[in-house]
Amino acid sequence: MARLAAHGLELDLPQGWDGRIMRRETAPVEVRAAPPGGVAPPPPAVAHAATFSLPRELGDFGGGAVELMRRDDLFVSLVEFDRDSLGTTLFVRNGLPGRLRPGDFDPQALQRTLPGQAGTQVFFTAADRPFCLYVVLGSFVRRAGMVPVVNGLLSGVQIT
Amino acid sequence: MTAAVVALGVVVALLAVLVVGLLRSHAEILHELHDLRAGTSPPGRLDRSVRPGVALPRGSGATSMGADLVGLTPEGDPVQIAVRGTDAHTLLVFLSSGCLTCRGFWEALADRPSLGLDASTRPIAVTKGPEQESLSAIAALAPGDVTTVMSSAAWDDYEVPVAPYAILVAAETGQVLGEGAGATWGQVRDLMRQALADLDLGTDADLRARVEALRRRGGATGDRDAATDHALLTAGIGPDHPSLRPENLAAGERDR
Repeated sequence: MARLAAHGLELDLPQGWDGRIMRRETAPVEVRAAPPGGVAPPPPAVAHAATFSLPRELGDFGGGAVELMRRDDLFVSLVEFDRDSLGTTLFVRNGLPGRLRPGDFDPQALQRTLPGQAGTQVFFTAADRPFCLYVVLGSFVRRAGMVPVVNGLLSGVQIT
Repeated sequence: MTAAVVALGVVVALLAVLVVGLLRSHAEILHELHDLRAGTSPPGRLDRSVRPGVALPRGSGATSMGADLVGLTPEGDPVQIAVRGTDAHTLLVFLSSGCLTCRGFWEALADRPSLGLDASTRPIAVTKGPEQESLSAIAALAPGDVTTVMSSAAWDDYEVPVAPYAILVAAETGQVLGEGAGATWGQVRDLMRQALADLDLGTDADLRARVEALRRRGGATGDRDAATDHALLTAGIGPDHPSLRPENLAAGERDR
């Protein structure tokens, strides 16, 4: 078990998983809104974790990676949004979901629909930062056995 | 006259001591060279055996088998990369920003299609962590198409002796299939191809067991002998092979 930590995100990654935490490539600093007399906030962060080899070039929501998934693979992405999303209805939920259920997953919830896969998206706010948790299962049929693994990973996530 | 004889005697004695010292020194040098050539060192002496170009597989008991790479990207972001249970073999290329030989490897990795690796092998460049390497120097060298990880722990886990150094890790088991140092990328590529060819032969469990046994007794016979035995075994020549017993061959075969 290795602990990855950066940009206010911490993640306990089991052995055999791929993972990384980085800044998202969004609007440049000079474009992002700065409070009067203050400095522009840093770019939002993103954390990826997967049970398969993540490619070097990877979209925030798994573009370039989910196509490589096998039936027993998992992909988890924690995507932070710009601070101007804070307080909007989409992010009204407070805190990272502690426990997902098999019923939360749907083949139609994928950013990119791929045969056999299923996904879920949960928007929330934690530590005054707006996030989207996006999870893809390699097999919708096997979701009952795969969701507890995802919940185990989420139990080791901290946002500060 | 007496003084001259005494002085001459002293000179002769000194010369005799000098000659004896030189002979003893020469004998010690010959002895050390013999040990070095045999790949053995007496107890209490520094081990000066030479590493073979292609090391033998580390065997199933190796501690480094399939250790995840945990470190930083050249951009400074934390990353973990699994090398066991993957779809492709992983070729770990341990490099530094300072060594001149490594420059050729960085340049080779920057042009992935020309690496000569098929889809069954993915290369990963591994440098020491930012406590021992410059982030900006590695960021400038890191190839765009090949993942680069900065991790001193990986160097320790895989017991990397020198840079550049390459280790081929099996996709499913995480076992080290081959490893070695080379002056050019072409040499390393050929070493890894040889390791993969050995892997095909290694599906014979009995052969693998015998190779591992040779590996374990490498300390007694020297890596050079173990490497020779390994090459003979992979060629199908074992201890009982007729070619090793000329007295058992027919006269016609013996004379050929």
